[in-house]
Amino acid sequence: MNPPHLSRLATELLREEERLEPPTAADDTRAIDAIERAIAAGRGRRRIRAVTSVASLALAATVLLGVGWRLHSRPSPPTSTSAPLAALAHPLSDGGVVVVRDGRERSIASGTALAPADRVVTSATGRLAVSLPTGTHLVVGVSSDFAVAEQGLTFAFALGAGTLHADVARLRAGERFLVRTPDGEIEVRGTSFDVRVVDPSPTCGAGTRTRVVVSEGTVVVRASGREDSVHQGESWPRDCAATGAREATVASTPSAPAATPSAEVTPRAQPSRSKDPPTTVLAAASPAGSDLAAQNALLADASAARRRGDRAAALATYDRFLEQYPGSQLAESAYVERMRLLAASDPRRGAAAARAYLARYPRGFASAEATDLTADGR
Amino acid sequence: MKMVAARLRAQVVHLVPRDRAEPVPSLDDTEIIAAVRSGDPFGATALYHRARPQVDRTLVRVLGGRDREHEDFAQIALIELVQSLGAFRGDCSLDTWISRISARTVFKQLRRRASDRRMFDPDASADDAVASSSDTGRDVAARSLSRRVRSHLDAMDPMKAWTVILHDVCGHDLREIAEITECTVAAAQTRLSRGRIDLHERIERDPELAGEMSAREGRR
Repeated sequence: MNPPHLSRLATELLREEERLEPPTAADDTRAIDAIERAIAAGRGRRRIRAVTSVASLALAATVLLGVGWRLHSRPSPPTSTSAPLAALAHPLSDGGVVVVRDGRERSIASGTALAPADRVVTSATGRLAVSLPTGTHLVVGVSSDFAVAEQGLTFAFALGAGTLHADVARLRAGERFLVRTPDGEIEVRGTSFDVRVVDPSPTCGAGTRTRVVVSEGTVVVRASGREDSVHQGESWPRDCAATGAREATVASTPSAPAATPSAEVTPRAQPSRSKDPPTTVLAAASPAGSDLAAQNALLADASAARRRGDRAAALATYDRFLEQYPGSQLAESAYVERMRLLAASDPRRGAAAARAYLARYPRGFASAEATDLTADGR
Repeated sequence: MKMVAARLRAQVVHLVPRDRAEPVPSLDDTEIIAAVRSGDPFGATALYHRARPQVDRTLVRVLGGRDREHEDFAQIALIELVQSLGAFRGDCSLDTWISRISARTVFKQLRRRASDRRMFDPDASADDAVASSSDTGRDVAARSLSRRVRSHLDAMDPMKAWTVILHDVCGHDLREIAEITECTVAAAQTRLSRGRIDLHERIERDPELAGEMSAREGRR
């Protein structure tokens, strides 16, 4: 399989390219620091695994010896294995988020473990991140009603109203991830998608209240006895392109104009089940396109400010991005850049930013760096 | 393992008065890998100096000589390298492994930022047109040709362009490309074949570039 002549000449040319600006001493030092942190983080992970193994062996020995200790007096979670499987909640707003547990409303602190049957309600200004031990992370938008239905091999959540953005980590054998809405169920296998519960429209999906936009991977939507696969770049119901542009994007912040379709989000409405099946006409285009252009422009502004050394402007722009697009695919990069900028000037603020990043992206690409920054800030 | 760590520490102690970024006295690959795997942070400098040239070489071949994010990608690739060394079984050279990890890192990062930037940094391409004082006329001409070739690659289907670069520029085999780009070997082979034809046809439609490249070949 020999390459055509011009293709061969072209690739030979590229092979001869050399780097024009070798790394500076500062680049060297920064990279070596990063390697040291990665090595240290790896050592930490191995230590945790070792401790876990010892603990598991000890637990097995305890069981084998027949010692009848009741390790947990609370009815739920009943076993030691359920504890690490808890979803952890991290409010993204000052107030405006409550958890309803055993019929009582409680405020929610960062790192609160959510249990099955817990219901989270966000106000018109409240938002919440939820991180799962599998690496999946969710953002519950403003004016939302969200509940934990199942935790364990199957993570199932219910969205009664409002918006939810989900970045789902690749599932292992036997694992499932589902989101139930009042009139549908979305099952995913390693993907990124937005769900919104809106007022029904007779011209859209035969009146279904569920809207789904898939930005990566594939989801299965079950509603009214039918099952539809929705692939990357597609939205569901498929005949809602006209209204989808307004409804689809889960930029679930009160200050984002595209994210406050107050006429469509009905937080207090009772669930209603659609009788008619959704149609299966393909959507014409991704409804999130214009939004993405705005996101890119904002990040480009932040990068430009960073490059010219205007740290304050860069930080302000990253903050604005995260405020406007908390569920964006690009949010992780914005979190990381913001964290690095803060860490360079103020270790305590850097550490706080690192904690916020880790809360949202516990297995993110900069998690080792963030872990070290949290230690630096102490 | 303990001996390696002790030796590393001794060398690092020896290096204390010097700049920490200076090269560590030579350790062989086995010793560097052992130090990193055992979690010895003193292996960081040794690994950096061992891996950095290959990381740079890979990034330049994939992205060109003046990508603005080169340093960021290099750092991420080095971190990925640390995290992946546990899986290194010695069935290829360490250089090949470093190149594979670096290419995979850039691929993942660019895909993650797919909506944020193109495969080749257009700002960097503009900078390439500016000659530095140390450049010879031949350097400038070669860089200009490279830039134009990359502009054609940038206009191609990204997966085909990636496959051509990984195979014909970086020297990865189809199995490695399949692993890096998360596809089957058959798909990688198809992309390579079609990508080469696409690149050839695009350059053919750019007679000035085709002529300059052929003339360059003739001068050799």
